[in-house]
Amino acid sequence: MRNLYLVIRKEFLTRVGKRSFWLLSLLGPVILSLMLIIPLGINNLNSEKLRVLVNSAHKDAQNVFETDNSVVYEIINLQPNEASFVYKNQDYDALVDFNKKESWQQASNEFTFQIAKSLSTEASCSLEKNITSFIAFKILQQSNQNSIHIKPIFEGTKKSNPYQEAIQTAALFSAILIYFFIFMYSVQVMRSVIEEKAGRVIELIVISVNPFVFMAGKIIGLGLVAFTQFLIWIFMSSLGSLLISQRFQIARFRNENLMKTLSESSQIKQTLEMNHLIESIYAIPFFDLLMGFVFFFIFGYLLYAAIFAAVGSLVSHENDTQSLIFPVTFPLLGAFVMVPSILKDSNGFWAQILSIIPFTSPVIMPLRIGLGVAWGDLLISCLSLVATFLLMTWLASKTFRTGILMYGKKVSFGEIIKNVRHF
Amino acid sequence: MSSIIELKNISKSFYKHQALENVSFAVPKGSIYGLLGPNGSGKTTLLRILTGILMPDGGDYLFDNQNFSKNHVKQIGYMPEERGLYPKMKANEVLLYLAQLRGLSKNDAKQNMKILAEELEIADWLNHTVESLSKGMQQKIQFLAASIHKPLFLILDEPFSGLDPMNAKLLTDVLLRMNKEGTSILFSTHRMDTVENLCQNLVLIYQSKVVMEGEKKKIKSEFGKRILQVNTKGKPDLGNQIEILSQKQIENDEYEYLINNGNNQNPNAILELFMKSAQILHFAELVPSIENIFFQEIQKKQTKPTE
Repeated sequence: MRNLYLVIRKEFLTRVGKRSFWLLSLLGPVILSLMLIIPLGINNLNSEKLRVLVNSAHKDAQNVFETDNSVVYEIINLQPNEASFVYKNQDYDALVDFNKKESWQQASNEFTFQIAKSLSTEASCSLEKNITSFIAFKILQQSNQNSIHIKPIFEGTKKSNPYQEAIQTAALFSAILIYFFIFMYSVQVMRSVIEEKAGRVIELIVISVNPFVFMAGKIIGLGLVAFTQFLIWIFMSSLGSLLISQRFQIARFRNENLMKTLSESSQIKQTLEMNHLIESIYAIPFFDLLMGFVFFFIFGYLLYAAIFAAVGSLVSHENDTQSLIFPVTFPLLGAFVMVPSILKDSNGFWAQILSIIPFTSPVIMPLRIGLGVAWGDLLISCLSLVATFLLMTWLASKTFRTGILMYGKKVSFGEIIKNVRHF
Repeated sequence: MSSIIELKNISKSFYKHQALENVSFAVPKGSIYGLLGPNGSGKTTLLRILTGILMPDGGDYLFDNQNFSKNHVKQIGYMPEERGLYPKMKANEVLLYLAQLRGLSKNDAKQNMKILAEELEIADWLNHTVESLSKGMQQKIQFLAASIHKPLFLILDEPFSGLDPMNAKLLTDVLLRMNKEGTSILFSTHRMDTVENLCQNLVLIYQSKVVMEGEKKKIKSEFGKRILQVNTKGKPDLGNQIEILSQKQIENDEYEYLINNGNNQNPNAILELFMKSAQILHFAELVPSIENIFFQEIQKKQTKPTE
């Protein structure tokens, strides 16, 4: 046990002491945010804007329905049949008509909606947000209620969770994090084994330390480095969001404070938008995601790190690993590529298959946890991952034991299997 | 004299390759022992068995008259042939790490490191990263790593390669001091001068087997009888009754012959043959160097590979 501790400590301290660790720890969150933002930006550049006609007699309609990245709003105030005529003859993509029954003064959500095109996600978001804000605003103006609960409008036409986007983003974020950490740190385990093997220092170490203890110490030590880095990222992002929320006094946009803020603010639309954003952040199942993340990160990392340690023990130079890294990481990469389609259908055939296979489940399952998954599926996925982890660690330690003392042989996959069967 | 290690019929094979076959020898306590053998003869496998990295397939390995177990590993120091350590770590950090893995407390490790480093004249360099040190200094760090825990038995694989004469002398002095204090030392080496100067006993391994083993003096006297050097005035007519290893003309009328007396016949008979046609100026029985013996024995094996 003392030796296990010594190996873990050495692996941990030498890495955390490096400048590159701190560079990545501090820049990582920035790079990751860019990775998320840039695709969205590109998406916005490419898509054509939706042209929506809004028919309302309300004087504030102009303030609420403001043209944004995905939708161009034009406000008119006509009889419903005239509005319909304009919509059809002037090539608008959609019509939102609040005037039809001229009853908006008492009404809650009375409006008609016509559309000639399929809605993109952003456009439907924009529409939903603006219509909700508009109706909410009208209700608030008419009543003396202190708080309201805004019901989703597109119920039935769209998925029922109004905060789907936010949850998807959070789930995607955790999948990217898991992929990134598992890949980066298991490859580091391999590199470090190769380095020690090439420097023959490994012979000095296995004299004093059981090879399995040494492998375990290395994997755990590097895992702790990964975890530390992760904690730094969390700390940095929390600090960032705390600063932002203090600077902009985010709390006043929450539901319970919304009335007060609206009465003080002239910016009705922004206030309601902010309220929507904040409510959707609170709708993310952070606890479930975090539990899923921690479990699948730990076991996914342990599984891949054991495989990579074995691969590292079998080669003499880092150049020889190129042909081995790809087959090993292929499932992980495959899972990552499948993420968008899993997001669309989180309980479909592929989602179920990929979350049972232990080589892909560390990326896929946290995604499904965020979006809602049956307990049965989760249990099977966890069990298969843990069982495979135990089996692979046993095989890897066998391979590691003999591999670290072999030199000068170029290793193919066939030989690895032969090796495992031999011992 | 009792032995620090004793091997009895040790065998080891990998897949179909027999790396060691019935290897037996003993290293006397407090001795300096030489392990000789050409590349690929099984030396590395043997050293790995001695250090407990590999287990033999068959045979007995006694350490200090007990069956070898993991507990004995702490009594062994090992310096492998190819050096590396951790290039990016500071030398003292590497040494502390390795010493602690050997079971030393941090304080003991620091103390031993300080003493040895001063003796090896590298105390001022311990705070540098390993990669920034010269090759000779890295070599000394490597030696320090092998001996920091004051082992009873020190195994050194080519310890002098890459050292200049000054540093080789420094290292030799440290080794002799340790030996005097009771450490038994085993050299695995190709450098015959090391064996010639330092070792009292040696074993030669060739093609997985022990070819010869024993005290250096005995081996030398046993093999040394077999070569005769004869210098003559005038070129003798020798016919083909004796095996001439070499002949050369030293001066105008002076010749030097090396004669193989492998069957150990009376030198008088050979001298008589010379006297018939030339005048004898000088005669000697040569004590061959270990190097000569090494080549001689290996050549013998190569001509009779089935033995």
